[in-house]
Parts: sequence; structure tokens; C-alpha cells
Amino acid sequence: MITTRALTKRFGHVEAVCSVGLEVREGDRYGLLGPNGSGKTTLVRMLLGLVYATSGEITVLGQRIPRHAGRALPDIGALIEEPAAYPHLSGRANLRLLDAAGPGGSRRTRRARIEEALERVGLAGIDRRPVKAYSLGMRQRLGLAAALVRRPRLLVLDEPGNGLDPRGIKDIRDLLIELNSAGVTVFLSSHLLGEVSALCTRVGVLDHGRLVLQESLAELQKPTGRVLVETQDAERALALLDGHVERRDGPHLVVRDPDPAGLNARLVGEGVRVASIAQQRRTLEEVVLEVTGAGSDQFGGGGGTSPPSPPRSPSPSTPSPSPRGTGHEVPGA
Amino acid sequence: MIRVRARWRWLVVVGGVAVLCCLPVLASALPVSVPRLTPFGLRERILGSAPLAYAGYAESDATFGLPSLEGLQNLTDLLDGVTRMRVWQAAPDRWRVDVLSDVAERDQYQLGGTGYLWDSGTQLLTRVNGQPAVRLPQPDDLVPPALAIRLLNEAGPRAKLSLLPPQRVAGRGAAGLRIVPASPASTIGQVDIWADPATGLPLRVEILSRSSRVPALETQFLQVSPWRPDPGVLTPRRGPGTGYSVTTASNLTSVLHNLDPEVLPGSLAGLPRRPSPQQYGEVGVYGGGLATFVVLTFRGGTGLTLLNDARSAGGAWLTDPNGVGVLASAPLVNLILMHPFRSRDTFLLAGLVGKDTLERAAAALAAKPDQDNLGL
Amino acid sequence: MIGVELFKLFRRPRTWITAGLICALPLIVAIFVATTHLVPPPGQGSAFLSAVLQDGQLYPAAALALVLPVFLPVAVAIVAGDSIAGEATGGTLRYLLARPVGRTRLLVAKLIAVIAFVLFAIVAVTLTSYATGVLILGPSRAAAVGESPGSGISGSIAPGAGGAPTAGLSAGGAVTSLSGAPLTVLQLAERVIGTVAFITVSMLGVAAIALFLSTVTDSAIGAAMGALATLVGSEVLVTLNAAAVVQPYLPTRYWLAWIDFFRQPILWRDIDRGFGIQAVYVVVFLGAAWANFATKDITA
Repeated sequence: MITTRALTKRFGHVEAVCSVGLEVREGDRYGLLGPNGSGKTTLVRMLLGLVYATSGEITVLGQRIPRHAGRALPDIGALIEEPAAYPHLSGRANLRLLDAAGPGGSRRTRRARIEEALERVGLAGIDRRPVKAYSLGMRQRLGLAAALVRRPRLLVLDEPGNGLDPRGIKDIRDLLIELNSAGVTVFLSSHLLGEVSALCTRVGVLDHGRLVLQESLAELQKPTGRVLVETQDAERALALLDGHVERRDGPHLVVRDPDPAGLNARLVGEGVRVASIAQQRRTLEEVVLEVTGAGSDQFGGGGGTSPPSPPRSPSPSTPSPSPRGTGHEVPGA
Repeated sequence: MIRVRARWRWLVVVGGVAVLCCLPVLASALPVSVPRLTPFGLRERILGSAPLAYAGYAESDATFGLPSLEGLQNLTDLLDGVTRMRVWQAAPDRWRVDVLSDVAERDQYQLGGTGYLWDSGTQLLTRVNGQPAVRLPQPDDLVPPALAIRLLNEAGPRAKLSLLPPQRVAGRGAAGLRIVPASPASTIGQVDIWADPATGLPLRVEILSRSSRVPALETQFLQVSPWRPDPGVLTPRRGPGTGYSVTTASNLTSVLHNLDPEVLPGSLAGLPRRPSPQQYGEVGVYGGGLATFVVLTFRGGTGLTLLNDARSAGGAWLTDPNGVGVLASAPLVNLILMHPFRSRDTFLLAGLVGKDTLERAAAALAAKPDQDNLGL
Repeated sequence: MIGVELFKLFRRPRTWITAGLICALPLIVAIFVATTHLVPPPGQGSAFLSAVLQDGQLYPAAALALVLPVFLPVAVAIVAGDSIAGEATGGTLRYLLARPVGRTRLLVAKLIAVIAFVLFAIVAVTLTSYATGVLILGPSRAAAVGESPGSGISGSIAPGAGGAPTAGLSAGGAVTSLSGAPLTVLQLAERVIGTVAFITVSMLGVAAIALFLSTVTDSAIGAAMGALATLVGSEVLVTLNAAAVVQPYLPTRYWLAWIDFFRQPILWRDIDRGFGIQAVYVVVFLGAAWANFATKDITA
């Protein structure tokens, strides 16, 4: 659906995007991760023909961008940074105008399509009040509705969760999963790890304009071959598993063992009281931190404007439950 | 790739601008060629163009440097600054000249012996019966053909004629003729006329004083074409809400009828006296051609008032053993007011003659014994 | 796209407020003139203002002369300067282009919307001022000056005939041209339409400059101010004798030429040049806007 080759964009001497080879396959829910300033927005804009690449190639829906952007764009629904609308017009009028402005939106089906899109984003009952009276969340939903009006094959969403409350984020996520299962490819960029890991099937990580990682989420989160054990009898377990314990932190042990069930049976068999036992999987956060430079807590900050966040331990011995629903910010973002 | 396209687009735009900017320059640089004519032949052709019917738009730019005179605003506007004129001429005595300003116009019609004046400011159409023998300059005097033919006639056959390089005037190639006045007393250094070589219609006239390289008067057509006379244009009509009045010609009658009928000498400063205009025997006209001046004699108070006005308008005192005088000097026109000690009269001398000539004439008048026709 | 732009233009309160303000100025002037009967001396001040006391039907011409120097260019510069920069600031530009709308198409649609605005404003001024003129200042009145019964002439000069001095009034609401000749209602309508066309085209030059600047900057006010600065600069040079060489090419040089529509016969010279120079400005600045906008990165 989206392929870029050696895509580079320079603004003057600043390299915003550097030799990016993006690949989004049909049916993907692709999440592009990166803090603000990492080149996400520039990359998204290049995909939509708004910003022209300095070098490299872009193919979207089989069309070369920007040369044949006019052929690809009618099938793409886009949300680019914040949503925007004419503030003195109602939400419906805004959708009508945008739909009438370009090709690929039949006039006969316009009203039905607009109502359908509004219903999907939860604005079905919206009245005629002008957009300037909308809350931030309503605007975000309206922007999403605008992207859905033409029933696109590809959704390109830049920070779709902005301004939404947890309930709203959940709604949007469910909507995107539903659309995806109906065949819509979803490409979203975000600086929120949680949003991406909860929604996406494939992940790309952008750091200082470079695509440092592009992998399916399942592959990233496969077991590490270690087991996390919590037990009051830590000393005994330590003695029992001599040589296999990689770390100990009070009652918490990290044991090198590919088989948690077997380990559990062995510990219980030896009379060690196991409070909890789990296979260790890497979290997305850990992966991201790893690929963006070990020991760096300034992901993409580059000495920039982002305030330094408190240091975190990247150690795998402090397992963080996979965050769901709430946004865990990438450090330094 | 996009850079290449951007560069290409900007090249198209900049190239288009360059072409557009060059067009006027190229147009004015086109060589002008006119058929070969002798100066005399060109002069004859210009003089023969008088009956032509034409319509056009002309602008004159004059810098006579006249002081602003109360009651003569129209005259000073005409002789100092730009005058925009629309001209239609069917015949030498059937024409219309509109003097345009941004938001108004003053139109002058001549239909045989009757003239009409329309002033859009006062919304008044005035019928002028008869033609004055003596009058002040009017806008129609500045229309290039009228001015050129008048100057050629005044210069007379003794003036030196020479050809000038052709110029493009009002989009036409025009042959140039230079006239240098025969009399060294004239303030006019040279008169340059450019005329259509085929019809002789003068398109551009420049008058230069002896002392300056910048024309004191420059008048030219910016647009001109032959015209099939259209009575609808030459006939004055007035719309609703306008006024109408009738006057008799001569804007100078009131002044000239109050002159003292002083007996003037037969020659002044070496220039002979010529016949006075009809009905104005008191006016002395001296010299000839492009070196002419007039002498008017004002009585008592009027003359002294004029003298004081001229002084306060910036005139220079003249020292003369027999009288007190003021000289007002402009590139083309000189004017002297001379009040002899022995008389209550004041002489006004004005014309296209040099300061020295006019001063000598004034001195001669001041020294002349009083010979009033009526006596004192 | 053009329909969308027109819809946006006329659904925008600003459009109506601006047009209302432009129409209000002549109305205020008319009220003062009608109550005080004080007008600038003929040939000075605003064009035709002295004539309207005698004939309210000429008030559209006077009203256009009132709004042309400042009100209209400011309004046009604001609308045109806002056209691209305003969408960029509001964020809607990126959605329009991603919709997709061709960039050249967008520019043309914006220009057409500006033309529609100019026409709307001028026609509104013309109609409201005609109503104002007839209702407040009243229809033709006889002149107060120089009326000499019995000697008046009307229609054409027939020496000795001396028709009724008010015969010109019977021509059915005719007005007097600057050249004194009466204009029939049909002629007046033609000339007012010509004036509207000429002023519209004059404003297009302003619009093209503002539109170009609007593609350069993301600040709508900046674009409008830039265009106005150009106009003010041009006005200064037009009055400066030393700049005579460049004067024929200045955008405001022929702005007043529409007055020539009210001469009899019409003086086409400056009108033609005015049309020509505005066409050149529109082509050049639209070309520059096209070259700039079509290859520009949209980062707002």
C-alpha cells in the first residue's frame, strides 16, 4: 500500500527525513512511532503529496507520489496533525464542502456517506452548531469523520488520539480495528507507545529522521527465553536454580529458562512457594529504547527543546505490564 | 525533481516578466525612417496641413515660470505644468478642444464665428459671440498643429531651418524641423517641430529659450488619427441641471479699454512699431515674428498698483535715471513695468524679447516727453 | 471547487460585514451632503460629489469614487491575502490539498472567488448608492447657476432657436456627462456597467498581488499588508514627477480612468491602458503565485 525507497527530505541544512524505506502492506495496522520532531509529520506529509521529497521514491496505492497523487489521494482518508475545519460552519457543512472540493465523492451519495461517517465516529446526533463551539475531542472525531467520508482503502492518521479522553481513544481504536477487519489499511503515526502497541500489527520507529526499526509487533514481543518468578523463598530458589538466575531483586527473580511451565513444576516440586510466574516478553517501550540508543533517555530530543524526563531503568528485571488504553509517553517526547 | 520543476516554473514567470518589460523599450528603440525632405519642403508641408481633419489626444508640458497672477489662474495653469487635451478638428474654424483634469473638464468649441465654453465644475455652458482681436493664450493654442503653424508663420521666411533626426511620436514616424529665429532679440533659442511626413500634420513641438537646454514648452500628440468630422462631437449640447449664458468675446476688453491713449514712438530698442490690433489703437506692438513685444500704458493708480504687485511677486527693481521700474523675467517671456518720474502713467512692456532689449525700450519710454493725446 | 469557494466566501460573515461597511460610507456621505448641502468645490475633492447635489442619479459614480482609493483595495487585499494564507493558518489547506484539490485549480478557484467578491462589493455599492442618491439626494434638479430663461439650449445647438432651458430634463431621467452633453438612461447604464467592469479589473491587480503574497507567507495579514504597501508605494510614485519614466507601468496609474466613461465621447485611451496594465499584473503575479505555490512544501 505504501512503499518508500531512500526517501530523504532536507529543509535547508536540516535533514528531517533521511533515507527512509517504509513498507506498509495491505491489511496492516501500521504504527509509526517517534517523538515530536523525529520527522513523522514530514514523512506523512510526503506520503500525501503535501511536502515534496528531496530525493527518493514514494508509491502509495500503486501510484507514484507526488506525480500521480491525484489518482491515489481520493482513496485515502487522512488526518494530518490537528483536525481543521472552517469554524463558522457546522460540522456537516464542513464535511460537505471538503467532499465537494475534490474528485471521487459522488454528489448523490454525499449525504448518506456523511451521515455514515458521523455515526461511525460517534457524532451522529450532532446539531447545527458551528465548529468553533466544538470541544477538542469533538473536533478530533469530526476530523476522523472527514477522513472516512469517501470510504477510503487507506487511512493515514497523524496522532489520531490527540485531545480524546480514554473513552474516546478506546472508541477510535475499536473503530479502526473494525474498519481494518473490513479491509481498510490503517497507517498511523503517534508518539504514544500505548496507542501503537494496543492497536497496531506492525510498527516502525523513526528516530532523528531515520527509520531505525520496522517489524511486526508479534515478532517484537516474542518471548525472551527468561521467566519472571516471585517467591518468598528467594534464597532457596536461588540455590536451586544456581547459574540460571540472572538477577535478583528482593522476592523477584529473573531466570534464564525457555519453559515457564517446567520451571514452575520444578520449583513447586522442591517446595518453593511461587507467588507468581510469567514468561518474560519485551515491551514495546524496551524495544524502542533499545533501538534508539542504549542509555539514551532523550529519545529524539537531540539536545532540543524537550525537557529531560526522569531517568528510567531499562532493565528487563522490572517488568512493566503492557499498557493498555492509557498513553505511556515515549520518554523525552 | 521538484526543484527542477520549481526552477522551470520560475524561469517561465521571470522570462515572461522580462519579455513584458522589454516590449516598451524595444518598441521605442525601433528605428524610425521617414522619406527624405528638404527643410523648406517640410515647412511647406506643415503649413499645408492646416485644413486637415483630425482627432487626437495631446499633452503639453510648459515651464514658463510665470508668477501666479490673481484672476489669471487659467493662464498660469496653461503655461506652467501639464495640460491634457482632447482635440477634434474638422476645419481650422470648426474644432473642439477639451482640457481634462482627473475629475473635471473644460471644453472649448469653435463653430465658425461662434465659440462655446463648457465648464464641468460650474456646470455652465457659455456662448461666446465673435472672435476677439486680442486675447490671452488659450488651450487650443497649445495643440501641436496650431502651435507649429503659428510659430512657422511668425518666424517668417528669414528664420534658419534645418532638419532634425526623425522621432516616433504617437506611434508614427515623424520628420523633425528646427527653426532658429532670425532676430537675435528673441528669447526663443529654437523651435523644434516633428510632423507626419506624409500629411505634414505637426505631432510634436518643443520651444527652447536661449538660456536653457530644457524646453520651456513641450507639446505632443500621444494619440492622433485622421478624423471624419462628426457633428455629434463638435456640437455643444447640455444636459439637465446645467446653466447657459451668453457673452461677447474678449477677456481683455475691460483692461484694454482703460488704457491711456499715450502716443508711442515709431520704434523702440531698434524694433519698429507695427500696426495695432483693430479697436485697440492704444496698444503698441513692436518687432516682428518671434521677437515681438507689446507696450500698454496704464493711468495713474492702476499702473502703480501693478508696479507694486509685480514687485511683491518677486520682480527685480530697475534703476533708471528717468523713472522707477520692475522687471519680471521668465525663460521665454520678459515683462517690465516702468513708471517715469515726469508722468502719472505706467508703461507695461511684455513679450518674447530678451531682457536687454526690453530694458532699453523701457528706458527710451521713460525718457520720452509726455505726449498724451488728450493732454494733461 | 469554484462552487465550494463561492459557498465559503458567501457563508462567511466577514464578506457581508466588509460589503456592508463599503456601502455604508457613501450612505453616510450622502446623509451629510443632503443635510448640509456642502460639497467640495467643483473639480476638487472626490469626483462627481459636486454634481450629485444637482442629480442624485449620478451618486453611484460619486460613491465609487469615494470607496475606490482606500476601502475597496483594503477589502480586496484582505480577502485575497487571506485566500491561501488563511487556509494555511486554519489548517484546512492541507486537508484541501490531500482531498485532493490540484494546486493550480485551487489558485484559480481562489481568484474567481475574489473576483466574485469584488463584483459583489462594487455592484452592492452601485445599487445602494443609486437608491441613496435617488431617495436622499433626489432626482435631477435645475442648476442654480447661470440659468437664463429663454436663452437656454438643449439637445443640440440650433442658433436662434433657443428652446426651453429645461428641455433636457424631459429626456426621462437623463444625467449630464462631464462634457456637458446629456446621457440617456441607456447610456448611463452602459457607462456604469463599464465602470463596474473597469474597477473590478483594477482590483484584480491588487488581488493578484495579494494572492501571490498569500502563497509566500502563512500570515494572511502579512499578505494583505504587503499588497497594500505595494499600492501605497505605487500611489506615491504616481504623484512624483521624477518617477515619470515608470509611471505608465504602475498598478494604480490608471485607477481613475473610469471617470473617462463619463466624458462624451468616452475617452478610451486611459481605460484601454488600465485594462492592459491590470491584465499584465494579473498574469505576472498569478504566474508567480503558480510557480511558487505549485512547488511549495505545505508545512502549515
